[in-house]
Amino acid sequence: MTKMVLDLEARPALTLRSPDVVMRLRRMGASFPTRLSFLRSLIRSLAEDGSSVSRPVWSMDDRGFGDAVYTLKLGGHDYSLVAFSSPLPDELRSDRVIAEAWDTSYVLYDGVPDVAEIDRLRANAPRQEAGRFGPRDLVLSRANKSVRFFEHVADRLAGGRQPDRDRLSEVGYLLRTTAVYGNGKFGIADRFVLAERQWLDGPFQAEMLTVWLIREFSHDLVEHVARCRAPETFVPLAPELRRHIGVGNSTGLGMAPFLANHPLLLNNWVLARETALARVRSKPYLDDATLHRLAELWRQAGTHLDQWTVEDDALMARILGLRGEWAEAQAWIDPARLRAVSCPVGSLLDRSRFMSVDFQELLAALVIEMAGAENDDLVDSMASVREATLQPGMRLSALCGLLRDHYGWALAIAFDKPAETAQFWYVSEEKLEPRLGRRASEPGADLELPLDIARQIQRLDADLADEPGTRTVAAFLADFPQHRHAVRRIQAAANAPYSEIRDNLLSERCRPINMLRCKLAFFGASKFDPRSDRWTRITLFQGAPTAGEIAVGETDDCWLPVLR
Amino acid sequence: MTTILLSYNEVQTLTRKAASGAGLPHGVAEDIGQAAVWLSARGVDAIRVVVAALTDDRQKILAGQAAIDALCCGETEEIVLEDRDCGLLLIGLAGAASMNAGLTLAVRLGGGDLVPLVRVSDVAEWVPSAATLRLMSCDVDDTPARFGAPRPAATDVGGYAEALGLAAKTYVAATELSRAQGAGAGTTDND
Repeated sequence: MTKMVLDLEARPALTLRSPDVVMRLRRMGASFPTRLSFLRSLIRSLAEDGSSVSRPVWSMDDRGFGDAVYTLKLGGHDYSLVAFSSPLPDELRSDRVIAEAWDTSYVLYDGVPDVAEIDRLRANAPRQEAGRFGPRDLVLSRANKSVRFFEHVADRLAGGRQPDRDRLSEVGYLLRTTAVYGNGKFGIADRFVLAERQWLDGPFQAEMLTVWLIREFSHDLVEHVARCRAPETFVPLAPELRRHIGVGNSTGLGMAPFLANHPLLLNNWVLARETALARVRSKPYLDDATLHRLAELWRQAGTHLDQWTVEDDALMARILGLRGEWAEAQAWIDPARLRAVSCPVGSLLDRSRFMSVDFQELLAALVIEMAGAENDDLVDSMASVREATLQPGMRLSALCGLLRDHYGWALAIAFDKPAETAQFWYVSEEKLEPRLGRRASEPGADLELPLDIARQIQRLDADLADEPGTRTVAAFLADFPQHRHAVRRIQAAANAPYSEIRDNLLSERCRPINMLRCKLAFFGASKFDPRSDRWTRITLFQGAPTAGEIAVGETDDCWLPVLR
Repeated sequence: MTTILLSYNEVQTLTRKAASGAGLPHGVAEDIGQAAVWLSARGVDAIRVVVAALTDDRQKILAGQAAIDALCCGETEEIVLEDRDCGLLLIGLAGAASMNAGLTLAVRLGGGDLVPLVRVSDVAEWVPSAATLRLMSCDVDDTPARFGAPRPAATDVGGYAEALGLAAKTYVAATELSRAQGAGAGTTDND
């Protein structure tokens, strides 16, 4: 366990889980969304600020092709989702980044666009990476239809019926985004612009806002198509079904290096979650209302697990195991038992150590959810203004101390074994996206990305061996500039215990899907649906309030959506 | 001269990749990316400066970076900047270090004025070959000029193309195997 004093406002020291436990790929790959996840904080912000959404432009033909603009005011600023829907032949519809055309494309615009600006965006947004954007364009995105489900919903609504609940539960979205670009990509606004905006200053808040508005667009689009097909018999989506239709997302390897490339940001996300967990763990008792809430959430999680099915055999086996464990452990939350023990949450968490990692992480997310708004203050600590800064005046003795304290996991890896360097990360010339190759059989290892953190640490450690401890980092790096990156990471780890994935990213055993799930869980994703060990589909905002409901804030289904 | 307008993130990413493509260590390339942001916020076509420095003598960059490190921790008192492009890049490296680490590095220009880098909003007209870098011993009272401009200075397309060429040296050509397995997905996803 890591003992840390995290709050200077007279809170007792909390016992956090050790980074050696938390930051392992297998556990990261068992992550669930929490109340601190980014889409949850966005929903609370929208509600607290009293935002309301208008649709000043809706120019669609009967088949649902055309333009739309959605506008809202948040923190005193107007933001608009500018949406374009175009015909797309089936053979061109692909989730992969190599695609060059999509059913729909979007820009989150800073302000309310006039006709000229909409024309500019219409000429660029459908081209995505091939387009060019400017400082008023905050986020760029695109989405493809889940064609069969879209058609099913349109057909049903046109015929005066609601969609089939089983199909809705199985798919959960009408549109699936395949990229959501922010922070200066392709000329759009830089991140620092948003860092100064109230409510959008947290991680990925503008991206989450974009996806939430895309969800609204998807609901309106399917209703529009249905209404045009049969205006006499058309019925709108029932509110509970509309709420259960989220936005799909297909995410591949491009997202995986992000966590390794942003160590302080990763630390801040995990530290906030672990602090929330530690706070809940330290509760000496639970009152009746909290015990009731715990039981409610337990049932909700069980139903969610029952409604979560995937084609991936390995994950489906884990889900089946988790369903069994969850049912088996139902007796743990008997109110009489929990009233009889001190620190009942700690007791539950300790007991979970004998269950699967999936169970442990679901339970951790559940108890954070149970605590409600108590931990919402931690959201403010999840952004990172800048990444690690080199401290050239540090003595090598201090650097070596940090290396031993925080990188024992890296020093323990046997890089002389081929299995530990079996894979290499690189950037593909074709699409300029990260890829993962097999070192023994594929060319390009000489150009591998510096994601070999553990190997860099070992090489640094070897070169430090004969150096006097009184020498400064500055003097050392003058002789060994190749270690600058590793030194900076080590120095950062002193105040950022969760900054490193404590596994070898080159290993035969490294499965990028674990990195993807960790990051996506922080976004607030659920219904992870892996299509291989390096890309996954997910659902965002399923069960979350729609634009018409946002004034009341979070629904009970925001955490793990359930179709009731 | 034809120019294009980039975001700061594009300036940072491209110069970092170009530095890696030119053979500099990743950690140094990261700093060059930050230096380019600092410079481009202060009126300089940073991509052109970085490309020129990279195609000159990369040892000058490494030596300059090491000298700035030494300056930051008090192991040296002054660095003399010898030529324009590498000199501007070193000013950028020092400026970024000042901003990130809260140090009061300063430039002494030809006229003798000592200008704290945290207070500088435009360096486009500086002649760094007549300048020195120093670590000031006292705090700067004024509010730091974090970003001198909301968007980077315009980039010359020629320098941009050269930077792209250097960055491309870090990319791996696609093969049928990499297309099929590298990202782990099929090519059509209709459902």
